[in-house]
Amino acid sequence: MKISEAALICAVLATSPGMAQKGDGAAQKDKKETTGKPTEPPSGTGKVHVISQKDKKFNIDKIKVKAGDKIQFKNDEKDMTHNVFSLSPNNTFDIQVQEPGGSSTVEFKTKGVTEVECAIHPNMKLKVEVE
Amino acid sequence: MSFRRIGFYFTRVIFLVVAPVIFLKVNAEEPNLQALKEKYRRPEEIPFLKSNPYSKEKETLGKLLFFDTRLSKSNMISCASCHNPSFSWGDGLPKAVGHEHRILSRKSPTIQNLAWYETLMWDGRFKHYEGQVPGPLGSAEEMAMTTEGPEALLAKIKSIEGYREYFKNAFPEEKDPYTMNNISNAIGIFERTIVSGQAPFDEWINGKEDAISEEAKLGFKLFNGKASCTKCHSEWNFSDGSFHDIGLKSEDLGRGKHLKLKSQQYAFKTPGLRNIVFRGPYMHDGSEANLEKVVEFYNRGGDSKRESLSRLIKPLNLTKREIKAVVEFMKTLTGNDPSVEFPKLPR
Repeated sequence: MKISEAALICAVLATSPGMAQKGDGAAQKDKKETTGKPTEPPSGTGKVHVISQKDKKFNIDKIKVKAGDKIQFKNDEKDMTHNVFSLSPNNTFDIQVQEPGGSSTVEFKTKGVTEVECAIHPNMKLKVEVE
Repeated sequence: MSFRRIGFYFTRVIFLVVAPVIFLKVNAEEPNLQALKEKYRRPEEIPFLKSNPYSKEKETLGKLLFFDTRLSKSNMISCASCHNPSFSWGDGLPKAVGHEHRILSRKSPTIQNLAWYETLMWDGRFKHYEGQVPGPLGSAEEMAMTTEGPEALLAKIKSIEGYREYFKNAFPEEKDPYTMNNISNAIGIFERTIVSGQAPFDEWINGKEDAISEEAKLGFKLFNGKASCTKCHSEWNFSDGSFHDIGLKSEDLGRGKHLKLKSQQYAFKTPGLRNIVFRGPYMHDGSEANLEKVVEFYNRGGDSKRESLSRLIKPLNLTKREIKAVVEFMKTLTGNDPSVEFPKLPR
């Protein structure tokens, strides 16, 4: 690679994050100015928490989330499928069979404790406290 | 170049380059085998529940109840009838035999080594030993014991004078210790003590190289590698307690009958493999006569292609020799089990 080409690439990389931030800031500023409403995330689009499944385990066994938050369940195994589900009445769900590399997101709408398990591997348990 | 000179250089290359490379490669494999063996080390202690801590008195009462045929309506079936120490805590049959000699739909599983698992039964419907006890006791097909009326379980046990002292000693804080919960807890304590003994495999894990044959060692490598057995038959008891549809022809929905998820249709619990030579015929329906047939079943990728079939089930392409080696390995899991003294039951 020539020095001039390298310098050009470096220049693009150095300025692009700054440009993106400036763009986001500008958009937010415009929204504030035009609607007059506070710039908080709209309801129903809560935080996304990521949980990993590896070696037939969830990476943590307990998590506190807010109602409306989501959990993204990732299968980080090499060759093991999982089937994350919950029969807890407040947040019942079934991701069904998830191949290695798969990822599914579940919204936890209702407050209370949701007991999450893997149907195939019952030792895999996650307690989700929805506040 | 003369042949002599070629020979000179050839031997130098062999000794100075090739041999060390082979030596290092072989020794590089050894740490992997050692790490693999560590995964199979036996646990030091038996776990007990916080809600049901161990006591010698509970174990004693539990053993009496376990062997007592009066806990069944017919007075002929005890827990030990289907979970017989003489048949490695199973009954040696393809399918269990229940009340009035009816043949049931599933094989009696062993109750050995289950203190480490929470979800029990072929279909996972009970939690822990303590949660499992009332099931067969009250099942009309099995021990057919009622909970109401003069012939009910508690009334029957209460009427046996000899049990009074045992219940008092096991539950000294309780005014009336004759409860289903106490019976379950006492039997549960006894069952937790049923653990298989040291096997030649354990001696090999502990470093005794001649404890198992070279063929069995090959079988161990295949078990963990090409044969893929450890995807489910893992850890020291050779079961991770998981539930899979392995593609048996049986129409039994297994766990899927009460856990209505697609992946759990036709799914059954992975049994452990300690003392497996004593527990044929195999599978939840006793459909495979011997261990060779079991490995052949997996080798062909099961017999039923269904949506619920585990992704782990596929043809293995094992040779006849490799199948034999895997079976030889499984034979090394036969433990030196402690002998069981039959108790004198109270009158």
